[in-house]
This record gives sequence, C-alpha cells and structure tokens, in this order.
Amino acid sequence: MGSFRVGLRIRRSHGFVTTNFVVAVGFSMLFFVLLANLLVVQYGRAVIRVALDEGVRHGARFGVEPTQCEARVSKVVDGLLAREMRSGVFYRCVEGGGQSRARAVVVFPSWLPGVPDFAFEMAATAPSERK
Amino acid sequence: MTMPRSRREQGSAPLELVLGIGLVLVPLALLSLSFGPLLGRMVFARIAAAEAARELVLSDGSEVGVVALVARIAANHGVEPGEVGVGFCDGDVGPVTSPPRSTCGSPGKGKLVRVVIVIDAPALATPYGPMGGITVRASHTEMVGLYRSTR
Repeated sequence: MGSFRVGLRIRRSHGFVTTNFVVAVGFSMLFFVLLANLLVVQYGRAVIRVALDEGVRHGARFGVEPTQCEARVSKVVDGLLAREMRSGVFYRCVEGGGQSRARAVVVFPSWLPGVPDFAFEMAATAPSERK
Repeated sequence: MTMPRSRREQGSAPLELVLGIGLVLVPLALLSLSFGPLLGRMVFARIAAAEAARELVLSDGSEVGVVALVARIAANHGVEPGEVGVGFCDGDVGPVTSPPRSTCGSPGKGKLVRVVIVIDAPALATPYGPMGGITVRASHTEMVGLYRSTR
C-alpha cells in the first residue's frame, strides 16, 4: 500500500510580478491613456464642428442677432462636453455680408504630463436669410 | 491511431515579429489613420452642398456667390479651395477657383436647384504623403421659396 506525502512547498514560490512586468504594464497604461485622450479630443472636435454649424444655421435666420447664434453654440457645447473640456472653448459669432459666421478657439487639456495641450481653431459659415 | 507529427513545429520569433508588424499591424494602422481624412472630407462635402444650395435659393441665383461661399467653407474645414469642384443642376463640375461651368438658370418660384460638391480624399494616408485617391461626391437639392418676394 502506497503512502501519501503532503507538504507545503515554500522554497520555490516566487511571484509572477517582476520589475520588468511592472514597468511594461506601466508603459502600456500610459500608452492606453494617450490613445484614450486622442479619442476624446477627436470627439471634442466633432462637437465643436456640430456646435458651430448649428450656431450659424440658427443665426442665419432673418432678423436674428449674433448673440442668438452664440447662445445656440453654447447650448450644444454645454450638452455634449463636460465642464473641464468646455472650459477651454471660446467662440464668437458675427453677421455680415449676407452670411452668418462663427469661429471657435479651442484648447483641450492633455491628460498626461509632458504632452502639450490640444489647441485648434474652427470656423463655420452659413448664408443668411434676406428680405 | 496517432496522427503523424511533423519534425519541427517551432516558430521563429524574429521572423514572425517582422511579418506580423509589416503585414498586419502597419497596414491596419495606416487604414485606421486613413478613415479620419476621408470622413472629414465627406462631412465637408455634405455641409458645403447643403449651404451652397441654400445660398442659391436665398440669393438671386448667383452661382458666383455660391462658389465664393463654398471656397470659404472649404477654408473653414482646412481644405484647399483648388481641390473642390462645384456643379449646378446636373451640369458640369468645375473648380471653385474658376468661374462656374454650369448654371441653374433663373430662380423661379418653386424651382428645384441642385448643387453637387466633388472633392478627392486620400485613399491611404501615410507619413510620407497620401497614396491613391477616392472621389467624394455630395449633392443637395433645395426648392426656391414659393412665396418669395423677388421674381
């Protein structure tokens, strides 16, 4: 009859998490955050594009003041961007020459130290209704 | 019964890495990066066509003014005006940097006017410049107001 031998093996119980592994995962996470940041910035650009187009379309109606265009842009931006992102959005509408125009200067903050903020300008134009 | 086993089933890590990066990862990355410019141009063409048709019915049917508006919208989108073509009412498409090659005629009440915007988008965006091209075309039709005061 055989005998069983049960015992704890404590000598060779090395963990899996080595320094190399931790460094590799850390860099992977940084890269992932950078990618996520780029995606969010692309989303933000699309929001600004939509907001400006909406604003100039709204401001192109007959007898509408440019402030109403800006109010429309503000409404779209407020609805689609969180407070931190929309804090770097500056826009202005002007009316003239039979056109309604809007221009935005945008700075989206970078999520990683050492990576510069994402700054760009965007504009939209729509023909105004006339008498 | 056992299946015959080939003698060597080991892979070659360096070779597979090079092939994987060169044949899979780099082409996939280039394809992904090419979607942005293509979609951007599609959005531009759609917006420009809509605004141009609207301008045509709001103005007195001035194609020259419409072409100028399309050039401005192109500048808004970071597109070179020379790359954009405009056509009116199924006529010839010409670049916005030259006088219009087609016309919709007099904007009578209730008339339908159609504006076509044509622009080339890069088929593949590479770090060394675009490769190939896809023609993006968008059109928009508007009706001249039935109760407009002019004409």
